[in-house]
Amino acid sequence: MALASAQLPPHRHRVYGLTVATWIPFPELETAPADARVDAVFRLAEVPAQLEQPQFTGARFQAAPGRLLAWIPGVARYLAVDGEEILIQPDAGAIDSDVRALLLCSPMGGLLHQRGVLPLHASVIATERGAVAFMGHSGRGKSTLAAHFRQRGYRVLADDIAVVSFDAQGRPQVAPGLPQFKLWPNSVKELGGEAESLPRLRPSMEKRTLMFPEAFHREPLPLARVYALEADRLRDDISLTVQPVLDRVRLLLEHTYRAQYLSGLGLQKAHFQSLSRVAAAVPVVRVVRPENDRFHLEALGEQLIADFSR
Amino acid sequence: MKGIVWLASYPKSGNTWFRAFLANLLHGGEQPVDINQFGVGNFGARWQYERALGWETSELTPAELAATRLAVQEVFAREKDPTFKVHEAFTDPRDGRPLFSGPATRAVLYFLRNPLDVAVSFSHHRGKDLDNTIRRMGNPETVLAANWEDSDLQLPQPMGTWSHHVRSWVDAPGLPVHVLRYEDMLARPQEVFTAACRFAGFPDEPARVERALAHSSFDALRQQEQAKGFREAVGKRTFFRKGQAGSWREVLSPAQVSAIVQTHGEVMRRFGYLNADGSLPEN
Repeated sequence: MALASAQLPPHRHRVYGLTVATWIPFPELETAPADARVDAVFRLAEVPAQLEQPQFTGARFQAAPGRLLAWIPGVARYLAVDGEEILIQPDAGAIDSDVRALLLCSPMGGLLHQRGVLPLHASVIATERGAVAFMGHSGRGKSTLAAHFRQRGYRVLADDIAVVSFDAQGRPQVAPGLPQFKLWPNSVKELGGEAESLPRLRPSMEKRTLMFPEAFHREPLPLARVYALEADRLRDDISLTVQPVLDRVRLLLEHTYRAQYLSGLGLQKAHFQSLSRVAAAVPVVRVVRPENDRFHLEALGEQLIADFSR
Repeated sequence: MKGIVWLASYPKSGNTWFRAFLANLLHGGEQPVDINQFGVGNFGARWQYERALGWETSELTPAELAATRLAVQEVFAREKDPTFKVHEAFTDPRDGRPLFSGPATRAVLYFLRNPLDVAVSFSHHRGKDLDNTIRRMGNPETVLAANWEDSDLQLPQPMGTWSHHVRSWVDAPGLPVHVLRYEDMLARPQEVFTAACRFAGFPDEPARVERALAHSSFDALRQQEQAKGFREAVGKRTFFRKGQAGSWREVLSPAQVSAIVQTHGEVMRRFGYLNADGSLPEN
């Protein structure tokens, strides 16, 4: 993509493998050099209430080829365009940190899909064997587990979105996200911290942020292993099961970040091809822990280390 | 068919029994369907809600999230044969706001059970004593899964009092609601389940209904739970416990009966759980 530097906004950040130029500075993101090649632009602009020809309309999003519109009333409307830019129209009275926090979720997910990379809903740590990703639905402990591994001395690539692409040899690799965990108070407590001492992700929410610049892994890493985190009330122990290839594809699809955008974006086929390439190259392991009030971090951590260190 | 069929009820009123029946009706073969594979899930399951929402529920404030409910339902309504179990009242007891979209709704099956028996069963289900449960049934602020900010897998579900719950659904203007009394489901299953299927647009051939009833009988469900457990049970307590009508007579004290009748007498009378003169039926 050729983005003429004269028209570009002044601030440069690195996030999810991209260098972005933006009018709004993002204190939660790392700074990129002024001369770095820009991949995408965030800019304030008028964002339409609807797409002209939406292929899919959800409750708070619309998708069409090259367009992903997402909005939260009271915060902002966002439009991701052709994988090159995110247009932002904040609502009157919106809080800046809310506008930034939400941009890095759904609109970013749309932009990543448009760029043809594979965003998984996963946290990622760096190990001697390469990047290890923990996929899971909300509340299954992705962030908590990655934060636990940071306490054990591991470096962390991402908390929420694992951006998978293919290197020159066609091997799956993961790009660094941003050096911030998003944690609920119960997770902070289980990690041995106090939620009150951490800033809120959004002023009117309990969810907290924990920055980890000292443990941030800033380079892409080959993807070595993927875990799908699940919990089951009927189990008393933790089990790890390597999945056959077809089940890997199903799990990777289930944990694709914002997979509900794909049909409207017209990207289902390309996405399935990416999933198949990852499934052929990387083991996917189902991790089922007992479902109760705790994440069983110590025991889970030990078993995972034994598994990915083999 | 388009439009959502809601299986709506206060907890412990026959909703899960009907889901077991429906799974066997729609997908059953020679063997009963696995009780852990009913297929019809709770509308409040977060991962499913997020699919229609396009955002994660944990990224939104409670107020932002509450404002998305009807729009999310309208997305599901466009899918094929959407059916959900729900424990919310039709209207939020705290502000009267509708929690369900009329245009997204194809039919409502409302499951109703004598609140004296609900108190006994709900108390066992929650692992809380009867007085605590009776207070909860009379508390307008009652919300299921209210602690969602601690990463609960379900969204908060406002229920209000037992009486509010019943009235909110059966008296909702213009809503296509069919009421099933648990006691009638037990006494005349073939007739009562067939009528419900007809109302909701589910298959209603007599032989098919009969087989689904056999595969979802209380004994069949309890046997499965004993053999392999039931994911919807809370803690280690049995979910399919008695499945009877009238067990309150052996369990509730006169003071507990009187507390329930005092709070819910009007709705009880309306549905035959109390005689016109306010006395309790003999059986």
